[in-house]
Amino acid sequence: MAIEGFHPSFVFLIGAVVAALTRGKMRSLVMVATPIISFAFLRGLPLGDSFVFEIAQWTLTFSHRDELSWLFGLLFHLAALLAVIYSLHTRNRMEQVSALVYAASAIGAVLAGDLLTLFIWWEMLALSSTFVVFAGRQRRSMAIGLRYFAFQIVSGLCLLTGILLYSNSGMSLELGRLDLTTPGTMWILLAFGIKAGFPLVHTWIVDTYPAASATGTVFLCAFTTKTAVYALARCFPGTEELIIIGAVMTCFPIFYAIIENDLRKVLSYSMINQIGFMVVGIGLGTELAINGAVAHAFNDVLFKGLLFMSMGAVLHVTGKSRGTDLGGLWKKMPWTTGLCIVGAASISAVPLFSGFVSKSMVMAAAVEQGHTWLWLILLFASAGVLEHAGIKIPYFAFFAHDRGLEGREPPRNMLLAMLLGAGLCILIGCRPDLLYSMLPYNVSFEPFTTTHVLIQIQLLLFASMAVVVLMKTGTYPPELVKENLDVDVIPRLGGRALLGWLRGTFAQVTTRLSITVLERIPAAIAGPRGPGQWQLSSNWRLVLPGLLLVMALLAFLIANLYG
Amino acid sequence: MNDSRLKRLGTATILLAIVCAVALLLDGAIDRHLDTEAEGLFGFYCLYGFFAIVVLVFLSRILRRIVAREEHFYGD
Amino acid sequence: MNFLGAWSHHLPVLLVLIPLIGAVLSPIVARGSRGWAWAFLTMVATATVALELLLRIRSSGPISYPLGGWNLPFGIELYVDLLSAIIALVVAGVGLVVTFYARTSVRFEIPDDRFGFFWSLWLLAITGLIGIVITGDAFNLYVMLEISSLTIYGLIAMGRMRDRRALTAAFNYLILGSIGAAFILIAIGLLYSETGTLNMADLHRRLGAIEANATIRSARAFLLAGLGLKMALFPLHLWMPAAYSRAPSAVAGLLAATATKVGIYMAMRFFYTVLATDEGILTAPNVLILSGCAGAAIVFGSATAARQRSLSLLLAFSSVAQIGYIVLGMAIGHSDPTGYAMTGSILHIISHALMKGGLFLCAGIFIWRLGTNDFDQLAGIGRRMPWTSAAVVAGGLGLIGVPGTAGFISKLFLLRGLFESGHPLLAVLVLTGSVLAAIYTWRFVEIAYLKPPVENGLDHSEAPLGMLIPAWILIGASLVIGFYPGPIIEIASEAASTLLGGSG
Repeated sequence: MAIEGFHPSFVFLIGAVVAALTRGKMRSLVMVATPIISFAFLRGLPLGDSFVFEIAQWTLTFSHRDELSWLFGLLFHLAALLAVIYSLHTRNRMEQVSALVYAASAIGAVLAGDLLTLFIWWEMLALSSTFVVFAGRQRRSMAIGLRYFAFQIVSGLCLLTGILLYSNSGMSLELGRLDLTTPGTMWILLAFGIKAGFPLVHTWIVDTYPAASATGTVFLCAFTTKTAVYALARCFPGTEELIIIGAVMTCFPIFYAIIENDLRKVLSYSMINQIGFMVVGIGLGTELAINGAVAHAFNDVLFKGLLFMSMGAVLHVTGKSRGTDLGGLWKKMPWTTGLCIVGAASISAVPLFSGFVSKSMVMAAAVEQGHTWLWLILLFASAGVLEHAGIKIPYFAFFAHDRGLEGREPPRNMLLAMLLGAGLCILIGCRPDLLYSMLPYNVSFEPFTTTHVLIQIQLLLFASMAVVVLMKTGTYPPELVKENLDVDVIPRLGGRALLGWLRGTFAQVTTRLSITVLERIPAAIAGPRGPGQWQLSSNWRLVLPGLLLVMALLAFLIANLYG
Repeated sequence: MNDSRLKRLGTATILLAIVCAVALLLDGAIDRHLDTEAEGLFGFYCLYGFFAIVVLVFLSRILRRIVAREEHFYGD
Repeated sequence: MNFLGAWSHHLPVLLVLIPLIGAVLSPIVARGSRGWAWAFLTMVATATVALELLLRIRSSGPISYPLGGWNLPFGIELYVDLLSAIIALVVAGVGLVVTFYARTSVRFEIPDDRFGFFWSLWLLAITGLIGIVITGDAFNLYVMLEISSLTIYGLIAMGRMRDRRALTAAFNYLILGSIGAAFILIAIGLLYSETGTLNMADLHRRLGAIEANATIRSARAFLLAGLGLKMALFPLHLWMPAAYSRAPSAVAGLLAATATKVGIYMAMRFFYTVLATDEGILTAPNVLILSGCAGAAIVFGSATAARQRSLSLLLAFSSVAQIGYIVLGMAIGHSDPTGYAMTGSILHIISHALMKGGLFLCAGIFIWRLGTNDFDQLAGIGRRMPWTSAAVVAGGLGLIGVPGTAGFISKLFLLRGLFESGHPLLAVLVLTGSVLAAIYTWRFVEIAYLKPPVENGLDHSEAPLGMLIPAWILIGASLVIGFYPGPIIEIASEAASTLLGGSG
């Protein structure tokens, strides 16, 4: 079914308004119907530019349909549908409404045909997702949401700066490949990089995602970073700096993931690692590599969503998400366990699961380009993924020590969403041609060669073996209740120090200064005074202002008569 | 290896070890398509997978020593 | 929308007559609770006339209206140009909204037997404020100034039921305000002695013809000092925090939004039309003092606001700073060829009236609920009174000048003006003020949203709509301007260029 003549994002925005006004089953219906109806409109979008508005000297193109934007549009509709189904049981109006706006912004961003339109949706994305974080309704939600918002706003400001500089140098704002030598493009890259979780600016991901509600995280993990990956693929394909950045992103999070206790935080680190693969692919820039990056983004939304959903289910049922609190749930939550393992197998790139068919494309592209070292790094990172996402997550949540937790299967809508996600993971894993046919470039790639399958199986088996050996010998780092410092320690402690300074020294100095100016000096002229901040002792309340008035008059008289 | 030690290892581990051995042997049986020199090594992927994890775990232990702090480090 | 028919010719005088008659009749026609309805109707009529007048002046230029048919320059003239019409509409419009609000708030802040008196004073104060704005006669301006001042002292003193100290605040303001007004009267007297006229246009003409002498220069000095006090320009602001924080909340809202703005209007009128001769009043030393005071107001006002312990006081000190912005734009307005600074100043009059008016109404809501708006009682209030708290945050964002609020638009123009006229240092000062505003706004956010709520056995539920709606109308209007600034900018820049044209 394809309907023409309406922009999918606006369907979501209307859906959000209606959802805000309805309640109960009616709202559930609206929530589910929105992505489905919107998808019909997405299919109806004409190829090339449409929804073009001329405002002053600017041209805003709200829909630019080609293979790339269509694929991400489809992906975001799928993700929105799954996340909506997953969250049907909640009665959190703020979360549901802002989630629909959030999805609308992500879809709007990938359909945008020029940088200004992208910027508009980029800011909407920041704002709406912040409200999803706020809606977590925990004690910490507010503070974390503000930290998250700070990152998103900085990203938006960088984008705006970049766009202004770029357009000042006389370039057209049409969305296309950007050359890093043009003024302003570094800012744009930085803006995309913040949202994509480049190293050093990645901390918002691991700060926010574990802190949102079980359902909120599922929305959050789908849209923001993938919108950034889309923007990178659109504007910076073949930018070599991205290869190095991506390689770093694949590696450093896996160390953190091993020692992290909160399983949703493990998944957040894992997310940076997966985006690393995509960024490498975009940096390589060959047709095969871009295809691989895009396909991996598609798969990542599904399997990372599935993993976050399964951990969310555990959180929903037990109220816990830390490795030290969990374990032994497989008997009580067999379906969730099984679905989580499907997600784990997919992210670990086990053949016949979805991760395999896309990650191998990026790896193959790296080898094809002769980047042997890069290939070794990616191989190392793949082993790391297996360890933390493939083994650690299901093992510590569902097996390991039985902590005797109360457990049962989560609500049906949660299970249904996970089932759909798992089904898609397996479907793409077994029939990769379905995904390949939608990729931006027409490149033939055969994932299931004997060599590919064999070496992948060898890698995975022996990596698992290593984990088993290390666990049996007690070398494997045990789960500990710890806060692991990341680079955000600097701004967070620095911010606290600054706040302390503002409240302490700075406040004292300004207080002294204003007391001196407002009270001490006049009091010294005219005798003793009572205590108080701005309030002057009773006699002074009238005399001082009067004195000041007379002094002002004198000053003006002097200025006017002798000036 | 006597019986009691085998039992402590558990069936799953033993199964995994057997499958690993088979996979390693397949390396010799199947003529792999080679893209890089390193791959030519017998059992390259097996070794790489195994030692990747070993290195990873040891480096993580060092990392933990550096970055781990008590739970409420940020006071929230 | 000419629904006044033949009366439309008399719009300027109607603007003063309607609230005046309303005030006089108020104790007779309406006793008790009907007093509010009467005042509200009066304000609806006044605001309608003000709107009609603004539209008319935009289409057909300034209106001169000789009172009582006496010929100029002997009779008293009402003279309304675009700037007067804007300020009159701000006074009447905000006055209308605050009157709506006052219906609920005065019920517990004013003794019952004082209702009739209160509404008379209320309407009379508005009469005075509007009168100042639309008169074309210097002495008439002084009369109107006294009418508004005396009634305002009375209104502030009515806060005594809630806080006894309202009496001292009103008394202090009475003494200082009277001296300030006396200075203005002296200035007018000196000008009269030199020119022999009181009509503003005539004054301007005759002053232009004679060389500035010591008398005229002394007149300027008295005028500057007197107006400085009425505007609450730092360091002559000391009467204001006490007066605003102890007055009944509706009165605080009205005063914060309109009274100081009218002071600034007087300054603009005198500086840029009446005294805008070749030498002018904005000589280098005067501009230096004015912009120095304004700069100090921005920094000290904001810094002092950041360490207040109650919302009302915080808002009052923030007003000191915000007035600093307006005066800054006005003081350097003549040296800015592009007119941005002046436009910014006029825009900030409008946006600050809306934001600060709304914020004081919110502060009043907290008082209505909790009996106080001290910060230690407001902990965690964001969850219990979400709409009121959200309004405070939205208003605070406007005070910072965050894009999307009216404060942003006016500060943007002001900054552009400061750069265009070569005052980058003052621009830095303006930005410093924004940072300090962020600090005091953040204080509220922290207290209201991040602190655990206090348990004091009081009812913490959301305010009644009768108070919430007016507060949100004002805050909402400032947000609307923030998003659709076009028409307001157009009107303000037109008014600015008219003013600046007069100084050439």
